[in-house]
Amino acid sequence: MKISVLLAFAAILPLLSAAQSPSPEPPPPAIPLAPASLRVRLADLGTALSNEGFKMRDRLWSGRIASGQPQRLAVNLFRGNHYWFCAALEPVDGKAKLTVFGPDGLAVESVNHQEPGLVAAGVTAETTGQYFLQIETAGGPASDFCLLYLFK
Amino acid sequence: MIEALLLVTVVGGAIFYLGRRAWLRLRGARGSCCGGCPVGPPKIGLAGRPGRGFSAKKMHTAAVFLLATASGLSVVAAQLTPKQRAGAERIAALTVPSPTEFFAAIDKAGKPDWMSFYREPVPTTYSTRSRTALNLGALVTDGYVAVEAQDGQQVKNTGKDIIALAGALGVGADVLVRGKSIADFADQNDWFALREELEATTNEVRRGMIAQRDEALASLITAGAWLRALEVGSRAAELSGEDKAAGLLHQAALVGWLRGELQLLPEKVRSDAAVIQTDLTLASLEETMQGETAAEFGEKRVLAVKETTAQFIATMAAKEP
Repeated sequence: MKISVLLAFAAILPLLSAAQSPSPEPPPPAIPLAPASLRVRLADLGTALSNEGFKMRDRLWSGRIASGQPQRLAVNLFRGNHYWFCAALEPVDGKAKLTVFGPDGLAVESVNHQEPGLVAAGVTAETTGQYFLQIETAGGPASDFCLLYLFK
Repeated sequence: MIEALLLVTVVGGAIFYLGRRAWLRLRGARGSCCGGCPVGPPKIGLAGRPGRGFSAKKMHTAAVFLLATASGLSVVAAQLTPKQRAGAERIAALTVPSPTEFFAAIDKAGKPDWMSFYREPVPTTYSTRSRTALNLGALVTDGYVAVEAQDGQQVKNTGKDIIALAGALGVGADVLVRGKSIADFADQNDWFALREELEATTNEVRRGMIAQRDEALASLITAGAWLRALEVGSRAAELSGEDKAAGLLHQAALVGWLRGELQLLPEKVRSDAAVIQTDLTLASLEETMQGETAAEFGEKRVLAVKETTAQFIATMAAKEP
């Protein structure tokens, strides 16, 4: 008898907890900031490119890449504009590959720059539409990355 | 077959390069390509112009050409599947371009008279928060138009209205400092800094909205800004008559995404009259932009975009009784 009561109580318990009045929801998570060291390195590069007339977007894109797990971001580019996408990596000896794909999904020709802890791709949009940035490891351990978007 | 042709091109190029290098050595030509020439990474900051970072000497050009062909090979092989494209991350503050990015492309396609895109001052009080948010977005785009026109006074006036509308949404204090910066940069005619400040102000307001758990208003600010940018862009394309300018309006993916953001909002918000109107406008634009490539975006579609957006912006900004 006791066992059946306990079983019935165990079955009802989740329903009771679900029926409780909802507790106040936690505040929405703040937009995660990329590590400061990455932002500092990007700021240096951004300043150099600003001197060439490139304007920086106000927001950075950050995340983590591991072997076989590339990250992709959709961006909308305009024909005739020049773009630079620059990513800083942590650890600094991490290697990454940055590829820009066009609206048709094919990789577009880009000017690539690479140095320890930094990878950049420059493109001139040949057509207006949605492009895709892909960042992936080029061998080595997983890395944190932070990407800066500039245009002219 | 294509791979074989590319292979032949690369191998042929390599043979040509090495052969010419050996010949120059034998001939005793100026030894720029004796193996000691630095073919470094392209000079950062010269997008799309890989040659400018290098020496102008012919052999360097040949080397750059060879390198470009080699990198082109890896580029041809890479392709994203539709599933990978659909799964790409989308962040409003980066996936949606800044209006100044759109205007930079318009400026390249044919220098418009930016002052001709000004509109009459709009009210700074509205009965609903959704209309306030839409008009705030549109005003930010007006700020960019004034920057393109290099009209400091107009930038300052627009900046004041932006702060007033932000105040009505409860985030005025967050952007008050930005308003001061906008006025200062306008006084200094620092157009470069003004463009960045306007984007930062928009993001500040959006962040404020999200912190207040009012994501709906953040989406409406973005939609308002983009619809006003499309109005200006379509008018510029109409005036220029250039295919290049018309092609810049081919933004089906972007409009579709903006619409998708509205559809994610809670049912109660979606039943708001201004939100319904925004959704209908975006749906109409999506239809206009559908199935055409940028190169085929003709005059008829340019006019359709202009009429749809102009009507929406005027309705939203109209003084309420």
